[in-house]
Amino acid sequence: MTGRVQVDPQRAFAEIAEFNRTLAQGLSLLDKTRDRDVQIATTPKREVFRQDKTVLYHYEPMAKREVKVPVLVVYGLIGRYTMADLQEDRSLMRNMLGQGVDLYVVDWGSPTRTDRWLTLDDYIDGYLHECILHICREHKLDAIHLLGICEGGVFTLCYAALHPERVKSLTLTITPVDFHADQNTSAPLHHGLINLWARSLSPEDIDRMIEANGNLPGDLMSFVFSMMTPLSSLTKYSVGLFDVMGDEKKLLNFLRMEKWLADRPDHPGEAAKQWLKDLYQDNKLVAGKLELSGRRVDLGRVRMPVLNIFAQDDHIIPPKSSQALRQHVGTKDYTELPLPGGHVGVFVSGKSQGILGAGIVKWLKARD
Amino acid sequence: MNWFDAPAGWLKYWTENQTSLFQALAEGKTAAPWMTPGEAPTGSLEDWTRQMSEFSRRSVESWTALAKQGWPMLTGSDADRSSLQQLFDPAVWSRTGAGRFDLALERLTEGPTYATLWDLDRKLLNAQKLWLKRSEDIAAYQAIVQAAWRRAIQRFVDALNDPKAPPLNSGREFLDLWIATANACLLEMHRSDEFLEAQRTMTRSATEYRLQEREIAEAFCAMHHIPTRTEMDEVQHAVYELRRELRALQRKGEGKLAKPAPTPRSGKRPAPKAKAKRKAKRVGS
Repeated sequence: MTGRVQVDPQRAFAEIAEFNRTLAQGLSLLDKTRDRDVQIATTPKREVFRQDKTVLYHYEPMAKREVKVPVLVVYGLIGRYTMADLQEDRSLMRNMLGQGVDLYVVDWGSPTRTDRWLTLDDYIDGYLHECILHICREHKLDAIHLLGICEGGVFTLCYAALHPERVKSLTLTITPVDFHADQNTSAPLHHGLINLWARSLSPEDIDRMIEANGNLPGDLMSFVFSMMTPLSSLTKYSVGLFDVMGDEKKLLNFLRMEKWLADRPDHPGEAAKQWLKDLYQDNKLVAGKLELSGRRVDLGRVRMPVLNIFAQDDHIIPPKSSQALRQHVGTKDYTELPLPGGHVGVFVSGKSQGILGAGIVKWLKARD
Repeated sequence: MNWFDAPAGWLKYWTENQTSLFQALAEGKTAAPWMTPGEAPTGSLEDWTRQMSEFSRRSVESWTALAKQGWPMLTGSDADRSSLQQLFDPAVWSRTGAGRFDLALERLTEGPTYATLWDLDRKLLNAQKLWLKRSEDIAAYQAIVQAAWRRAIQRFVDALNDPKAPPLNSGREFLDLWIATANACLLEMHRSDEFLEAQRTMTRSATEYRLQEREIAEAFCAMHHIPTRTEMDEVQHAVYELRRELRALQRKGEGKLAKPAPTPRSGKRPAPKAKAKRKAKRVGS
């Protein structure tokens, strides 16, 4: 076509041959792969508490207890906690259990239209509070360690501000704190697009959207996420799949991630309004204006030890948004742990596996 | 142009003709044969032809006046030229129902409301209007997206012709260059105010259409004794409020139980009353 394209015919033939070989191998692998081969969240656990759709699970121990006080993992309502337990060799849960942590996780279930009226107040000051009280009762403790992920990080942060007496330490991972921190930065183009999208809507647009759908549809959020990486989203099942289909391990990793992505629940309507309007638009958390159950969420009351983990190339939660926490919390024991990779990569990439679990457990042991 | 004054013109035309007809009848003039079937014309064929010719002439004159009134494009003003240009504007073609049809719907849906008349029709017309708005907004959104793809292709061609850039030695390198170029173009578009506004508008109009669809579905449900979405939402809201109150009561009860009882001065803990004990058990269960 032009002088820049200089494909040697011999190399072109080799490339085509390789393409055909990978394709044949991949199709054969896909043909023999069944849904049962693609399992996620397989770490053994049992249900110990349930309220409405919220279920509290307790993981089976895998090693001698090294951290005395139990840890409760809290994911958000956008996506599911299974991301932290995607596969055996890439599982935060297994990593922590293997290092002697007594581990619980909250599963918010799959909200339907009947859950449209649930607010953040209900999730944080209701369900989460009940789960924490249950663990405290079971272990005869006043307080436990909390570990929040993404939106779940905001839940645990708000909870820690409202009920500091129940939180022994707070670990936040990839958690947005300052929702306007994406502005006036020289970050890459795809960083913070979700912040921009949320601010482009008017409060009335959000109200009408929730009125029409009942909840914030999971599909809509998937679309917004795909806008942040447009071409890789568009070529995922051609170029992306082709790149991994020749290798069974990589292919299964790809399919596990697909399974997690496909399981994106709807976000309860009233809680979504608060999430988008109060936080993304009005940035009330850092302004000290967020109210839950009639009480102001004062981050100055977060005086327990805080570990703040963020991804250096997080396009969904810009690192600055997470790092803003330092200047708002009241604790003197504040630690930051930057990790390589992106938002989901922190939990599923091979690179971060050793660092994340080990980093958290080491920090917890020192504060147990 | 005010196409909506046309009905007034038609009315005037119809009234004038009716007046002429009644006047003719009152004056004993002959009506046209097609107006009085079975009656033979009274005048000569020549008279009849003349009458018909006159009637046709007046009709043509009235319609011409009416057309000028309703379609000022023919009168040669600036507004008319822009109307003419609109006919040749591809952007207008791509917008479903843009222009006069939309306005007609607007006039119909925003006219006076009657208590028991045309309620469902109005809902249907409104849905039609919102569907057109939605289609227009989707087309506007797609136009922005298409422009970004065109820019991506242009940039890709420029990159291929860049003499300073390193050579592309394989099909994969060629593909990767295209993916990187298009990705950057689409991201720039996604961040632009123009795109965000188009997306917002499209989302809003799709939402409004969906809500209007619900109104129609609810009208059908009401007619056939089926609970509506709104009623279900209300019921669920009531259940939600009750659950919330129940949780608050449970928590209050548990809090009372968990609180150590005040120690009397004698140091003895008073025995709880049987009734209070039963209540505490029920709340805490």
